[in-house]
Amino acid sequence: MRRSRTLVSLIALSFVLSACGSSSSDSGSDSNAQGQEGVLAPYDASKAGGTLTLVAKGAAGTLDPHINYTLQFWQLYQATYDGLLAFRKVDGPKSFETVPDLAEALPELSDGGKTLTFTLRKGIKFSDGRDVTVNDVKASFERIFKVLSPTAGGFYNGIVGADACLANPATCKLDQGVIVDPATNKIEIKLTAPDATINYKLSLPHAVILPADAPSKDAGTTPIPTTGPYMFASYDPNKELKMVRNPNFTEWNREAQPAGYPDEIVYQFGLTAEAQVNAIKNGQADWMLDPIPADRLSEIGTELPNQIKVHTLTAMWYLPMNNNLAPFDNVKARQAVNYALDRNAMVKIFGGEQLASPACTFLPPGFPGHKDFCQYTEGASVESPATSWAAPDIEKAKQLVKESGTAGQKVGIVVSDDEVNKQMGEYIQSVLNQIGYKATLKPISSNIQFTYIQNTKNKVQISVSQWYQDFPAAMDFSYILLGCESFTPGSDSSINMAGYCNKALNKRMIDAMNLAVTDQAAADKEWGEIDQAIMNEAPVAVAFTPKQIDFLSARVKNYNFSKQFYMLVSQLQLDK
Amino acid sequence: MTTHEPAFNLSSESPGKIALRTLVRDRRSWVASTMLVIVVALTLFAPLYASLVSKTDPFVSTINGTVVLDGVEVQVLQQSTEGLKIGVNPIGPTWKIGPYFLGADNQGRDVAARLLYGGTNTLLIGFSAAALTLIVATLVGVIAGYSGKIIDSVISCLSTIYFALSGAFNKWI
Repeated sequence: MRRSRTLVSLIALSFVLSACGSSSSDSGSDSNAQGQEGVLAPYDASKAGGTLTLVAKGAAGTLDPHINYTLQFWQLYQATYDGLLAFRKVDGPKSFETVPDLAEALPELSDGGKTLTFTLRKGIKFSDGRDVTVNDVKASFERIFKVLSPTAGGFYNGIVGADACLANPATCKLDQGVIVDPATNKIEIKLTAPDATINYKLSLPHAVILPADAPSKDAGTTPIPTTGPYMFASYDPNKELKMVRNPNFTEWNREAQPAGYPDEIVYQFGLTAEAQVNAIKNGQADWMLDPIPADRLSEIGTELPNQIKVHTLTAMWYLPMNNNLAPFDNVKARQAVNYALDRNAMVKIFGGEQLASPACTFLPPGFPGHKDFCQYTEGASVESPATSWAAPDIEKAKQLVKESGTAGQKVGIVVSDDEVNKQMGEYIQSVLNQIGYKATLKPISSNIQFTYIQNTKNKVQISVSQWYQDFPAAMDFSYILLGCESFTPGSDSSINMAGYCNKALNKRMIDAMNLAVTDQAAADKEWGEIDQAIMNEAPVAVAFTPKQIDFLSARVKNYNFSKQFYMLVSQLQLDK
Repeated sequence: MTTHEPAFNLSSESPGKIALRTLVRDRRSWVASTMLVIVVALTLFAPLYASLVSKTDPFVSTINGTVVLDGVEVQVLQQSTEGLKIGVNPIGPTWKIGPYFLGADNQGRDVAARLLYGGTNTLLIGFSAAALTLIVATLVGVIAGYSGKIIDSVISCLSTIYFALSGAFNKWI
């Protein structure tokens, strides 16, 4: 027992330690006019009202919170759905901390950290008026598997019974893994092994609590009842998404789910990035999703500096290469791409050195487990890596392409159809042609690009994608994006887009996750070694670490930036 | 004696010679022809322009490239130095015979060189369309002329309908 108590304490400590994520500082101007960093100011009803207008080139696919895996809609889920836990909704580093949401308190740990016990709050209702019950909680965890959530295998496979659910999703039952008692409102989540990151995973949109009768398949454009201050009124992916106040919401924990200020939030789709910039300048929109074209940054950075917020991120732009399809089923071809990419050029396309930094490692700088190395820069190699990227090596790339025997092959580059992604794609096309391929560019709607490149049926050879942390743990990058369990052929939810599966490294990643329970520092060191071992095989090409640029209209006030989910949409106030 | 031209020319001059003489005497046609020759020549010499004048490959992105202007090496895509110092701007027209006469695009490519290469494609499309129209029209005309009255009438009728509804028809296809 003594050993178990010690183990439980260590697990609890690791929760706290891993809640204190990135220490990188923001270079822009945060502005929380009413409060201080880490503390959300008390709700001021006099500042409520108005319609907040957000704009984007395209929508983000399904509205189903258990399936959607995009930053675009996860930002909206913060103000609509709730899980047992939530990330603290505040400005600054405290936003990495988890707090009780639908649960009354953080979980009690027992059984060596394998059992988490919660008590569900009473009195919380869905937007359709029904009470949230423990039966909804159990059904929601089962639904994660039934709807083939992209993280079912990566994040929630540690729940007892998850193995059977992964094998037979349609009939998923977690009777031994999620045990509920309606009489006491208690919920027990039983794990097969202690998990240092389980609190984070329970705070993500993929683990939000939905009504028990939510459909057992992708809800698509049909809104599912919410618990947060807003609900989805309508969604047309080709035109507009509308959020209105949830009439059944009352604030129960301001840190987890604060009341919102705008009466309505309207997300308009279809505008190009250029038009989005104009709309904000003209006061017709309040914020834009898409990267600002580099040729407009200078203009707005000079004319409207007070309407721009810049923040460092633990994120990356990268090129997943299909490890199971020619030419990138050949490791030398993949290494060639890594050598050929001029990361400084891609930084320029994004907006320059103030907004991005070249990157070579899979784990971003400042992230738990990050180790400085770069095999794919001029003068370096897998056997003799440099500590950072300096310059491309086109001649080495050409030589590798020749050695791989893939020279002359056709390569299609699939990118999202917004201006910045298309420019990235044009550049990559030029590079691939230079090193010996016949490359073509295939821009497709941002509404479907992310799921399109995941599905092996689409035979995507190489694409441009982005990854923003789900929570501050190395497994969220390496295991989620390159683990064997995240690769599901023929599915739109196969987040391991490279199709990479190295069983030996996969085991090392699982061992590192287990090690984190007792020794976070040792685990982080191991993640750094794993990162280097993975990149020796170059399943992807990492391009750069971006910063987040928020361009706001002049009437928007009370901007708060959560390091976890970025701009807190519901907290924006509109000048009347 | 009469002072007016006869109703028709009874000389043995061919229509081609008549056309050529009319053309040579018309100054406006001289100007138009000269411009056309210059445009065609420039586009045909696009590869030479790229290799000898701009000295860049117009199909290769040179985002991190540099160019020497007035003895100073400058970036083709330049970081903004104003305001928040965010964004990059492609180099503008140098107006000097050499690299980036008309400036660079957002991939760092020479705009003038790409303009000439693009001109080749544009002219090719234009000439091809005109040539195809000429061939088809001649063929249809010959068939109509040498066939019997019925075929001639049908072709004539279809042509009339097409020309009457050509705007709507083109939108449909």
